[in-house]
Amino acid sequence: MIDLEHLTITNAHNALSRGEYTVRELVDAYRAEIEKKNTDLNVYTSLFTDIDERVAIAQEMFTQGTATLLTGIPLALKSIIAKKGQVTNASSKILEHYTATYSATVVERLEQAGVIFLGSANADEFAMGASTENSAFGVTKNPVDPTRVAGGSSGGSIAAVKANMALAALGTDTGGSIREPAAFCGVIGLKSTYGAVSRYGSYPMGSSFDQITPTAKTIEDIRIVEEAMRGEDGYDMTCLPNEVWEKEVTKKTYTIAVPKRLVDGSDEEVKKVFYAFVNRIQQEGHTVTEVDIPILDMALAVYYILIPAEVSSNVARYDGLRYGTKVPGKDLWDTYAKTRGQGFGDEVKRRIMLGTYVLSAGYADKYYEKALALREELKSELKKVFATYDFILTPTAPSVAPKIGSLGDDPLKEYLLDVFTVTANTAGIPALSLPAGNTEEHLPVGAQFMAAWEKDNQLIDIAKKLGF
Amino acid sequence: MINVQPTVIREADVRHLARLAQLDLSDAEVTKFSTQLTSILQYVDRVKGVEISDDVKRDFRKINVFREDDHAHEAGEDREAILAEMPQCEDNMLIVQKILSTD
Amino acid sequence: MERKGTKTGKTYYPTIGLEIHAEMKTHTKMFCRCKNDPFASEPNTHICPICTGQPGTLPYVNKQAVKNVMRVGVALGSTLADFSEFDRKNYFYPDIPKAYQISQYQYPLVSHGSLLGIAIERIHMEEDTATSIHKGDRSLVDYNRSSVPLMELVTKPVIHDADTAVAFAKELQLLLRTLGVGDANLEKGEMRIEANISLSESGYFDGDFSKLGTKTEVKNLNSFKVVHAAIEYELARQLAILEGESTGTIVQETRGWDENKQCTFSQRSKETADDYRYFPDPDIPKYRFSELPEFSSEVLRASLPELPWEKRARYSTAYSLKEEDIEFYLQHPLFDALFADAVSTLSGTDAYQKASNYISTVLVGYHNGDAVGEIANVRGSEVAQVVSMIAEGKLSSRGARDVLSALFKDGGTAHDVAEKHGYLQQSDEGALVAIVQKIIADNPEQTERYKKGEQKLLQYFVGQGMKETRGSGNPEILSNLFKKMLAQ
Repeated sequence: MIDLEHLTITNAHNALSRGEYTVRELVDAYRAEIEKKNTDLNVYTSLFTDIDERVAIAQEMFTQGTATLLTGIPLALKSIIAKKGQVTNASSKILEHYTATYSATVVERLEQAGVIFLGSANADEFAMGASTENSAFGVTKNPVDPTRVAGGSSGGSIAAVKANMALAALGTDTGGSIREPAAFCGVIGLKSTYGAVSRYGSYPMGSSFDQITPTAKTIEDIRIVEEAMRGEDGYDMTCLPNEVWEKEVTKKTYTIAVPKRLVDGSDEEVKKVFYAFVNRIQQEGHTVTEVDIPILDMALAVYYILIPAEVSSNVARYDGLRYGTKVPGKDLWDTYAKTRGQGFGDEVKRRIMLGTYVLSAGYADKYYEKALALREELKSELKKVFATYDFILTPTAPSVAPKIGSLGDDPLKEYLLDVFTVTANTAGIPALSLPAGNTEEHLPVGAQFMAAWEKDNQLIDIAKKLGF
Repeated sequence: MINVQPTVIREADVRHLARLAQLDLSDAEVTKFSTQLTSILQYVDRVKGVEISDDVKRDFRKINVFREDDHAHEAGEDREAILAEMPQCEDNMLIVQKILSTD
Repeated sequence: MERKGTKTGKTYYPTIGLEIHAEMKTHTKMFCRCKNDPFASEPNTHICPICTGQPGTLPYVNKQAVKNVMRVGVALGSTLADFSEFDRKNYFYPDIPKAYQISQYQYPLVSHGSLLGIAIERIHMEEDTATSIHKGDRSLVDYNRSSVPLMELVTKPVIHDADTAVAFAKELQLLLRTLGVGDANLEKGEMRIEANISLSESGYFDGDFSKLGTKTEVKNLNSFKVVHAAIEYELARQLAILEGESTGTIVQETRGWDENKQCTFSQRSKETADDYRYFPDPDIPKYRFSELPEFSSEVLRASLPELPWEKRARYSTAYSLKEEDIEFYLQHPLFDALFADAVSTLSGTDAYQKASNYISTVLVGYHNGDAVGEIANVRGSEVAQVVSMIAEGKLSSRGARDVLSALFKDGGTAHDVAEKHGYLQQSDEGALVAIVQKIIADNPEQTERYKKGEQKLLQYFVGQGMKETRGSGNPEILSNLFKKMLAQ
């Protein structure tokens, strides 16, 4: 029996290298967990059909001596990341049976390294949501407490890691979609600097916010996956040049700003765990200062203007004509409207209409243009903060994982869960969610570190210093 | 802060947006979205009151990106997969309902 | 130009603005690495996940396409953008697979400038749509053309008649071809012209758009002839409405051209409202061209070939060519190169014009007719040689044509060909004297009549001489010899 609960990429690699078990045995161990838990937790929407081929290739890499740290490592892949020849449906009815016609850059890079993608992990439809309740294929339950949501949108990816249904996973993070479920489930989620990882092959939600992100139980595993993915790509113009990652940025101790007024809007049980975590950080020699950053109050509003705007354009291509689920109408226009009206879930439709509204003639200047300007202001304010402090620290989410169904019919309630996380995406800075501790009810609470642009390595360093 | 009228999205507005976005909505959806969009827009309305200086400094982390115009990839590399996803084809072309109404 | 209302006697001022799209000739498409070959015989050959709008794909800008548009801008004396960005134009249509076209809105690559004195508003870069074939109740979509680089040039509304509009479009076509940035064939849709047409009762455009009448936009004009006819038709149609001679009102709309009926017709192609919700494409970083030396106007200008209007001036001044010959060379680069080669070793207006004449009439005749051979066989230096040999009296004009014909067929040098085929003109009096004597001896009757004063018989003798020398005798020398010897 392989101890999946405490397995790390490095340990697995060593065991595979030494022949303690084969790639097949490792993969089968995860498949057995999936077999056991998936019906209940709803983590994967489908398993990939090429696992056996990939296992053989990975094992051969060990035989040939060409194995990398990631060879034979089983990963879950969020349902919005394309893998050629496999159903990649973004947890949406409109793409239910769509087989990706190409692979995402990250999938190519990781498969090159020998990674074995087990299956398509459930998510909120097109990554829109914070609970996976917006998936067309049902909610993903929280492995810690199955009466609660895993969080979202990368809920399937996170739950896969937490429930030992994958050793690590890829998700995406547009406004907290990896960090928030990581916090709800008690694992680690890193959202790198915008442009660190090629977005090619990740079905876009907000193109100027999206990042493909790793999740795992240890920071070292996160680092391994992240470094294998990141770097320039001839298919994504927004990728940052490779040189930015070569700079040495780590320090012995760090200075940390806590925007107290904002943090104190959180639930009591969250604050309790959070401030205990802050104490622990201070005891380890880091400096924590309470600050007020008023512009942060605007971040969520800016986010929920710009995101729908980009969404309305990004999902316009799903019309059932060239691919996907078509609902024929009496003429072409009727087909468009029926296909999209029936193919999209409520949250996607809401964002499409919001985006259409804020971009339409007469409103663009009041909403879209204003939000763009505020986004620049946010960046410049953050620049000032990071001139003094290495990190901004907040809880990852203002509450613990909500009960399934408790968010009800008020979308704004779900949006407010993003209050701490959207800032990083709006400004393009890196952020990391670490398990800060559990509430008295044994529910995980996450702490989020935000760092300046391209200081991703500094985030990994503080996590390591704190023993993750 | 300037005082701004709270935004209200009426059902007619929802229908107009749905038409622009090619979304067929039921009457019940129209009613529901009218309430929900109103509530969300009233939250984001806070940006409308913010004074923005005319000369916002735009911070672009990456500029001037190009691809050289060479190495056209082989014809039809992904063609089969793309055509296979099309619901209906004729002579390797996508069939759609008539697209020009020229009355 | 102004039109008078036949009923009211009012003066109407026609205003025409053109929007011209032209496909850019590049190796690859605008945003992906598919071959730019919209006319591939097999549909959906040059397609990939990007240009068919598969989920998750991203654009990557083709540098050459952008450069091509900037080169056009430099040629037109325009202002090149320092800051520029791409925007999304959102609308639904089967030929636009992303449901948005990547185009430019607020910051076009090129602004201002002029062509043939017509002021230009802007030129921007965008991507072409797929092509569709309409078959009964369905349409068939081919994505070979999807995302081919496309420039859109918009003139200011400063054109007032169909002739000028056509001249502008032709000149733009010539410029694009000269720059090598596009083939710009209207018939193939490589260049597409839309005309915005209106009639105003209060004068021409002076910057105040409110002065202009209600405009209609006429589209799908696939030849210069059609452009002309459609503008004329539309002006007449609008005039008739304004004058109350026909019913209806002028509404701002898109109209097509019916080739059979030779008229424009209202075209309601889109049922969605025209709210394109433009916004900067977040997938494409911005541009600051001042940071890129290869995009500076100096560098781009240095990359330009001789522009049509420069060539016109030079050919007129240096070679005194006729306007129609100059236009011929502008339209036919192959013959233009031949001409340039030929005149490089010649001097004198007479020689230039002769060379031009042989190229633009004789050789073109061979090239376009069913003469055996090819124009590539003829070197400019040999055309020059032919011209020189005529001047030196070594070739008659008939001999010159024979030499050119032989060169066209087999190549070689003018000298060798003339010698080999005996086309050299005999100007050697000594050799011709014997022939002249023989002809006089053989034609006693004509000699008699000539001597009695029938002077016109001289032509008969010269003709006999030409016959005897099989065309190689210099007719002038023959004529002089006959005159001299018949007088004896």
